Amino acid sequence: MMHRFTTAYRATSTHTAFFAVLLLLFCTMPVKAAAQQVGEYHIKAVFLTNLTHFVTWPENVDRENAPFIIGIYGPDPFDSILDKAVAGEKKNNRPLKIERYHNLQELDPTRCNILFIHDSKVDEWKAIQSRLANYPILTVGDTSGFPEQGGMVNLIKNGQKIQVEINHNAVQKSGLTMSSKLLSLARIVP
Amino acid sequence: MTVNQHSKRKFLYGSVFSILLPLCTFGSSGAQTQQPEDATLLYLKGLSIEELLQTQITSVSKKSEQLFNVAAAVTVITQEDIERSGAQNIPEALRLVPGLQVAQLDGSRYAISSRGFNEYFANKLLVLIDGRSVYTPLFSGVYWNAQDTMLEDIERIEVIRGPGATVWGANAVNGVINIITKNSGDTQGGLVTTKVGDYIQPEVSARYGGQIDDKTIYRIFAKGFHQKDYKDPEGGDAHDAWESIRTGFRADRSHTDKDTLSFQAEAYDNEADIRSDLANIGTPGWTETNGTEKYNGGHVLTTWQHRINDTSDIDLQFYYDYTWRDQVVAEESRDTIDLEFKHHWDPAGSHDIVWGLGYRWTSDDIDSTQYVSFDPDSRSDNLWSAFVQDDINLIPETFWITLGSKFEHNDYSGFEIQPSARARYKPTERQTIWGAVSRAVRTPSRAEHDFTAYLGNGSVNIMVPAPSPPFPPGMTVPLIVPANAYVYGTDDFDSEELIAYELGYRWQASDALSFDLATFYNVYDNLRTLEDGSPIISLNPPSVIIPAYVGNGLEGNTYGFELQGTWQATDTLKIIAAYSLIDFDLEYKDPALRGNSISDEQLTPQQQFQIRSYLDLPHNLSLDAELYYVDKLEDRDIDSYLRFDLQLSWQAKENFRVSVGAENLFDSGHQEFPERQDILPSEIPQQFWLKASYTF
Repeated sequence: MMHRFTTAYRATSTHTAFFAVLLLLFCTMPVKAAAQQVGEYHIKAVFLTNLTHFVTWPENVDRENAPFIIGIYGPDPFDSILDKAVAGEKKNNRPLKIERYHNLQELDPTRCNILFIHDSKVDEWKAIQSRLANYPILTVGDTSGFPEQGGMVNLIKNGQKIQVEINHNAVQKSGLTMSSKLLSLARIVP
Repeated sequence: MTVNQHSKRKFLYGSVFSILLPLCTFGSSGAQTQQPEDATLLYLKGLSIEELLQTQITSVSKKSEQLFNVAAAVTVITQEDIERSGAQNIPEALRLVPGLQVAQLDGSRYAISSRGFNEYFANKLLVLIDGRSVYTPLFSGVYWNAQDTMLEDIERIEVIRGPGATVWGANAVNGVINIITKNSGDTQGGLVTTKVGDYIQPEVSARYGGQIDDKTIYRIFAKGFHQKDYKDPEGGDAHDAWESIRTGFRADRSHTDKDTLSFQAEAYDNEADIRSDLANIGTPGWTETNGTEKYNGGHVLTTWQHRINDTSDIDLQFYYDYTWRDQVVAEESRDTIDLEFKHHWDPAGSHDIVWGLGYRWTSDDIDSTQYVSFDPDSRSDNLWSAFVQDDINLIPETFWITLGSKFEHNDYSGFEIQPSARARYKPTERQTIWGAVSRAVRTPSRAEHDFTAYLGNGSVNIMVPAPSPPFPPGMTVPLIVPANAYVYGTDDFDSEELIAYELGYRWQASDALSFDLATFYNVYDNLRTLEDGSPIISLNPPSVIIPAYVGNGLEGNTYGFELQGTWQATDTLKIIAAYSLIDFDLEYKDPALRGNSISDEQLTPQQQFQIRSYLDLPHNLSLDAELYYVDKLEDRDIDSYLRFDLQLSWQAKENFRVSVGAENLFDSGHQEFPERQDILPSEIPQQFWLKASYTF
C-alpha cells in the first residue's frame, strides 16, 4: 500500500530507461497533421478578416495608405485572437487594423470600415445607427436578432459550427456590395 | 545518493538524448508553430470560406472571466508570462505575482505565502491544480517540490490574494492559487523540450496530443529532470540535489452540445537530498545530517460539465489522490477521495447564483521516527461542505454586490462558517472600485492535534527526596538529571480565524496603460503559538520532560497593499512593475508573554518590488528581463536581495525554438530564508541555462 508507486519506478536507473522508452514511443508515433483545436472566436476572427475580401466599399472610401479599420464596440470577446488574425493582412494594400471603442464618441465613422458590436451594446442600436449616419460601414454582430434590428452580418453559433446571417437590404442601403459567394453561404434575413 | 551515481546518471541521460533527439527530428514533418493559438489561426486562414463555415468548434470559448470586474485582488500568470520569465518550475513562476512571498530554502524546497505568515509549512494559502487540492492536511501547507507538470501545458495560474474561503473553503485564508492546465485541444501535436544549465542537468519533457475519435482528444506527457547540488553558505556542497520523473495523461470529450467530459491521471516519483540539523538523542547538541527525502504519488481526476440551458449549468468533479513521502522526521502515506458538485444559475434579472456541495475523505498512515510520532498513527477524516454565492447587479452595468458563505464540517474543529460580502462599482467602463469583508479560518492540521515532536535535550537540576536512611525523612537534595524537550499537539487546538477588510481600485488609464491597487487590513484571532507547560518529572530513572503545547495564544492584525502597473509601451515592448508592502501588529493574548519574539512577524519581507519587460525584436528574437527586490528578514539575519534574470529566445523555425537565460545575474548567490532544524538553507545561486523546444 505504502509503496504502491515506488515499486513502479523505484530504482533510479529505471528513470533513464523509462525516458528512453518514452522518447522512442513519441518518435515512432505516426506523424500526421496535428488536429487543430478550434474555438468559436477563432472562427469568427478569421471570418471577420476574410470578410474584407467579399465586400466592396465605395471607391471614395478606399483612401490609400490609411489603415483599413475593424472597430470593436464594447468589450472585446476575441481577447487577442482578432489582433493575431489580422496581423500582416491587407485590403487593397491597406493594412488591417483593430480599434476598440468604449463609447460612441470614440467611434469616428469617417475612419471605420467594419464595426463589430458586442452583445452588450446591441441594445444601443438606435444610437449606433445615428452615429454611423450613412457612412458605408459594415456592421457585424454575434447576437441573435441582430440582423432583424438592422445589423448587416451576424455570426451565430449553430451546434458546433458558425452560421452567417446577412441582412442584404441593410447592406445595399449603405452603399456596400457583397459577393454572391458570400450571400450564397449565408442565411438571408429578414 | 553519491556523487558517483550522479555523474553516471548524467552520462546516461546525455548519451540517451544525444542519440534519440536527432531521430525525432528526422522522423517528423508537418510543422506547426510554437503557440497553439497561432497554429489554429494559421490553419483556419488556410481554409476557403466554405470550409471555414463547416469547421467544428472543438474547444470552449476563449472568453475568460473579465478580471477587471472581479471584486478581489486577482493576478493571472499566463502561459506567455511563464514562457517569457524563463521560470524553471511553478514556485519560480509565482515570483511574478505582486506581493506573493516566494522564498527558496534549498535546491527543491520553497516557502510561499500571501500576505504574510510565510514558512516552509505556510498554512494560510490554499493551492489547487485543476480543482484538486494539494494542501497537505498533515502539517498544513504545500510540499511545493511535489507540485509540477509540463510548464508548457499550463494555461494560466490564477492567484487570489486575500481570503477565498467563501468559495474555496477552509485554509484559503490569505490566498488561493489555482493552477489550470490546458484543455487537450490546446496541446495537439508533439512537443519535446530539453533544458541544460549550471544546475539543471538536464531536464527533458515530451508531450503528444492527438484525437481518439471526432469528439475526444487527448495528450500524454512525461517530464524528468536532475538538478545538482547548490552550495551551502560556507561554500561546500549543499547536499540538496533533486531528481524527478513524472508522467500524465488527459482526455477531453465534447460528448454532446451540452456535455463535456474531462479525465486526467498523473504519477510522479522524486528524490530530493536534504541537509538537516537534528537534535541528538541521548546526548546534548545537534548534528548536521545529510538525508534524502523520497516522495511519490499520483491522482486520477474526472469532471463532467453539463449545460442545462442558456442560464444554468452544472459541474461534477471527482478525484482520487495518493501521496507518499519519506521525509526526515516522518514517513506518511495518504489517500484522498474528493467529490464536488456545483450549479451555476443565471436567471433573468440581476442575479447570478452559484452553489455547491462537497465531500472529502482523507486517510493517512504514518511511520513515526525518534523525532516525530503520531497518536494514532493512522487516521481517516471527513470533510463536508456546502457553499452558496449570489452576484447581484443592483445598478445595471455599474454596481454589484456579491454575498455568499461556505459551511463546512471537519473532524478537528467541527462546524465552520466562512461568509463574505463583496461590492464593486464601475463609475466608468475603465474603472472599477471594489471592497470586501470576509471571514476565513485555518483549520487544525493532523500534526497540531496528534503529534509529539522531539526538540532536543540537556540537563536540569531538580530537587528530589533524599533516600532515608541515611538522610532524615522529608529532606530533598539537588540532582542533575537528563531533560528532553517535546512539543505536543493537543485536541484543544482550534481554528485560526481571520476577518479581512479589503479595498481595491483598477484603472485602465488608456488602451496601453493600466493600474491595479489592492489594500488590506486583516484581523486575526487564535493564531498558533507554542505554550510552555510544567515540567514532567519521573523518578525512575530520574528524568524530566520539558513540554510545550500547541495553542491559540496569538492575535493581532496585518495591513498593507499591492500595486501593479502594466504598460504596453509599443507593439513590441511591454513593461510590468509592482510594489508591495506589509506590516504586522501581532500580540500574545497572555500579557505575561508579551515582549517575547513572534516568529510569524519575522519571516515575511516587508517590501517587495519587481519590474519586468517583454521585448520582441526583429528576426524572431525576443529579450525578456525581470528584476526583483525582496526586503531583508531583519530579525533572522537574512539580507535583502536583488535578483535579475534575463532570457533571449529565438524562434529559429516555425517548429524550433532556442532560449538562453541567466538567473541572478547580479550576484553569485544569496540566502532567501533562515535555517530550520529540519532544513538547512542553501545559497540560491547564479545560473545559466539553455533550452530548446521542438514541435511536430
